[in-house]
Amino acid sequence: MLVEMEPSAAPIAPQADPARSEVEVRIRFPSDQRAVRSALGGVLQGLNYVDLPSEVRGVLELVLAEALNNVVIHAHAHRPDGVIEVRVLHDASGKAPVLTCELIDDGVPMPDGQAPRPCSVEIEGDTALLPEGGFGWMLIRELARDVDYRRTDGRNRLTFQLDAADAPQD
Amino acid sequence: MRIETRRGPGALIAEVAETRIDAASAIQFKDAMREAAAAETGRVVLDLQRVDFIDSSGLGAIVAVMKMLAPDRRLDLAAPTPNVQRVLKLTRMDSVFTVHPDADAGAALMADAR
Repeated sequence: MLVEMEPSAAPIAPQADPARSEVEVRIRFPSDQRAVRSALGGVLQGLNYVDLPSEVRGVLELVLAEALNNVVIHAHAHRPDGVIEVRVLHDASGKAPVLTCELIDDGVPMPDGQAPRPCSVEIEGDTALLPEGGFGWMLIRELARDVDYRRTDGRNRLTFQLDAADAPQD
Repeated sequence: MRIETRRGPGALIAEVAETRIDAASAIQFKDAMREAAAAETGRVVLDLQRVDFIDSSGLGAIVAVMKMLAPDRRLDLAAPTPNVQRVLKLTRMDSVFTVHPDADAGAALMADAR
């Protein structure tokens, strides 16, 4: 089942088909922070056809938000006409349901051609020295697995997976 | 960004009257908090009970407000929802801020602490 959404358009309502074990949501939208917010809402709305635990919905929205905001701020820093495409596939055919996310953009490549590793953020000591940024990739690496970045044909492609089962987290 | 303020026993309570503090609203949040805090002196409790989504930009904005108030004025957090708690915990900011389960109770504690 595919739920395809355009910016500022209602989702194309798929036929509810419990026999199918895959639901995919795709959204293309302009690269700015307001549009990211709308796209996140669209992804979650599209996944209303899946009985996702609220914990999983929260993690999905957070990881997507961090990855998408990075595209807006970094990849498209000098591209006001940048476009982002996000695809989220919910696959319940295996032992445990999995969300696979794919983000594609036409911005500049990531530094060093790879997805950042979480740098430890110094939070001890003087309040005045507390960091106000640097948490985005920390959150992505903590919550997502199989994070993969590729640069092909002038486009960035970031993929990662999230467990979609209702499992207690520590 | 709407911030509603009320006077608690030991602190100004600033309640975020929005459901999100995210990249699209982080700057507005900082501006609104600067304005809300300027109306009073003393400690501030940020009531997050209505916020059901925060990202790293929103968290950074809260840290910026804390630094803006320091060193004379303290900023505590209150009533984080599960999504907000997750971000505070994963970034270890729950060890930087004092987090109260309830804003009014937190403000009362601050009164006792004086």
